[in-house]
Amino acid sequence: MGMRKRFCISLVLSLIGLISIYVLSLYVKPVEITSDQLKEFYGRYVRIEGLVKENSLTESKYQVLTILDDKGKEVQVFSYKVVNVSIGDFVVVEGTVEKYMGEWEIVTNGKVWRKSKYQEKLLTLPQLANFPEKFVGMKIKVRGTVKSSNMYGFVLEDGRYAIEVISPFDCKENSLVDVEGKFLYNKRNFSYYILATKVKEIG
Amino acid sequence: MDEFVFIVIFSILGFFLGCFTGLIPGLHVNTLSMILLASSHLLIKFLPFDHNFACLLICSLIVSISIAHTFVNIIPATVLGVPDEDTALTILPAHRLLLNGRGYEAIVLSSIGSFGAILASMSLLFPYKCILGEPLNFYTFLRTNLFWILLSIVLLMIFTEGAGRKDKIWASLKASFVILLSGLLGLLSLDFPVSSPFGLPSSTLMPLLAGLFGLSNQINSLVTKAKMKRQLLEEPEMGNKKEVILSVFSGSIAGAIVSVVPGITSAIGTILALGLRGSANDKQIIVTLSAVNTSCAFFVISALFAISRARSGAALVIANLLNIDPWKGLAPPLDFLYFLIPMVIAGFLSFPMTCFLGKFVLGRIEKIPYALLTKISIIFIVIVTFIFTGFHGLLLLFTSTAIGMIPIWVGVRRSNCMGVLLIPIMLNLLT
Repeated sequence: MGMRKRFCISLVLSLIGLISIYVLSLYVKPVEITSDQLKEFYGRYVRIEGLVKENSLTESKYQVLTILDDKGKEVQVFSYKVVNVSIGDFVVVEGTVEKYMGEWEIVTNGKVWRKSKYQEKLLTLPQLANFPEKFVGMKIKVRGTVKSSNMYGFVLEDGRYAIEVISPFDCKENSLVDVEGKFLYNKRNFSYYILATKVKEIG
Repeated sequence: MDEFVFIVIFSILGFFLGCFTGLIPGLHVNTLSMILLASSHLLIKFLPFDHNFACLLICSLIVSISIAHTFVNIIPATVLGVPDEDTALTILPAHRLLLNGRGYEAIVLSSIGSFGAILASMSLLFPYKCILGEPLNFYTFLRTNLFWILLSIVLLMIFTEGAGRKDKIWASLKASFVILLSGLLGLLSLDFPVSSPFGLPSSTLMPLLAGLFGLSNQINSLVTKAKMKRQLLEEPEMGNKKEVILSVFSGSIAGAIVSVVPGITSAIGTILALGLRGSANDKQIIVTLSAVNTSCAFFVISALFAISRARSGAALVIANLLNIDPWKGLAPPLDFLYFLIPMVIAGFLSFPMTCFLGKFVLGRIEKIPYALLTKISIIFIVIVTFIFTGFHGLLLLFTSTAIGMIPIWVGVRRSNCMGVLLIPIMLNLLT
């Protein structure tokens, strides 16, 4: 077989491979993990969601984000490209799990996207507690346990954080619920509360 | 004193493991380092030392493996993947010597280059630290001008292609095509999700590099079916000592550059070294390439302390296991001084061992079922790729192998396939 023919075969196989990689990459999404699973996924390409808590640049103009995941735990994100996100934004990050100076982090090449609609995302109380000003006046959905029910509503808590919920719905004490409603600020006693429009018991 | 003895023991153990990884094509030192990291908590539990010292011992083992590996890997590189000289348009200098019955000479020359690089790298250590780290901080300049540095390297690769040949322009065009095609592969696949079906740490780089540089070469040797000559096993003459020293020092300087600039390999480092020292014959190219390889392994560990950067899988694992003290001032940090022990031990033991193993293998080359060995090596690479990166990794391996064969068929250097890293890094720096 001549060199020309061998070259043509290699080129055709290369193109088939490149097209297959491209098509497959459109459908295959990386594994979605939480902060607890970073060690388990060391060296692997993953996807993680969270709220931006800190946003800074290094001396070499790389971006370092601290995000709070669903469990309220912090995850460091190191991005080679500067991405346009602000503190309090809900973001999705795709990158490789690495360890730097003894700390786990996600290293990404600018693959950080802002999730614009908070309503689509179920919030946790730690996320709400860290950036209350970001959500004031917005319709949100948050999960927690019902405590101290009274005629006006109840207190929604997760063991660490608690928020008052004004709700016309009856809920069992200690039941796990998803509360949908408007997140508001009460000037009179300097506190935040949720005006519930829907409460769904999930356990 | 006890600490010193245990570091020496682990260095010797690492030397044997490095000889093992070096002899097996496709088993890279980074792969073994990742396995060691994944099992490090078990090893630390098993070792009767405190946590920090156990980590230091595992790191000494890794350092020793990475140095010994760069010596011994010349043996499979010389013996396997040899194309037929009449049909191949480009042929590696070590393969050319093997086809002329002088494979042992290639192995001895390579060992001299690697051993010389250990000595040269030691002498270049303080200038390396002072230039890249404090007080000159050239690394900061390098980072901010990385695009232009990489562009210069790409242009150097293109314009030195086919030097001395009549079809130089045509060869440069072919080299550009290979760089762009492998660059496209890098753009599509560097973020492609791969995962080990066995939960092991995985990286897209492993199938990409194994396909571009390993499997493609082995398939080529199967297709072209080289005939093995009886090998001369007498101790070869070293040749002009000045030339050898020049090759070792230019190779070591290039190795230091390779250790800090992302996206370039020892093969590209050799092009740089040849640019530094001027033209060279096959023998000096082998000495230079091996010097680049070994000094790169040496400086990658040094870079961890001098500029706080992990530039290889092995360095990354060390950075994970130890809290690295940055090298400030003149005196090196204690951990780095400890690492000089495995570097020296592995260097001194690997030199005679590589010559011994080389003589042993080449003395039996006519009896070795060459095609069978190459097929086993191909199957081994495919299995290792699947274990670490799954089916997606196999797709990357298939594509990168097909691309890796193109430079062989069109007669340009295979190092042009490093476009797989160079192009994505450069585009990244631009945007």
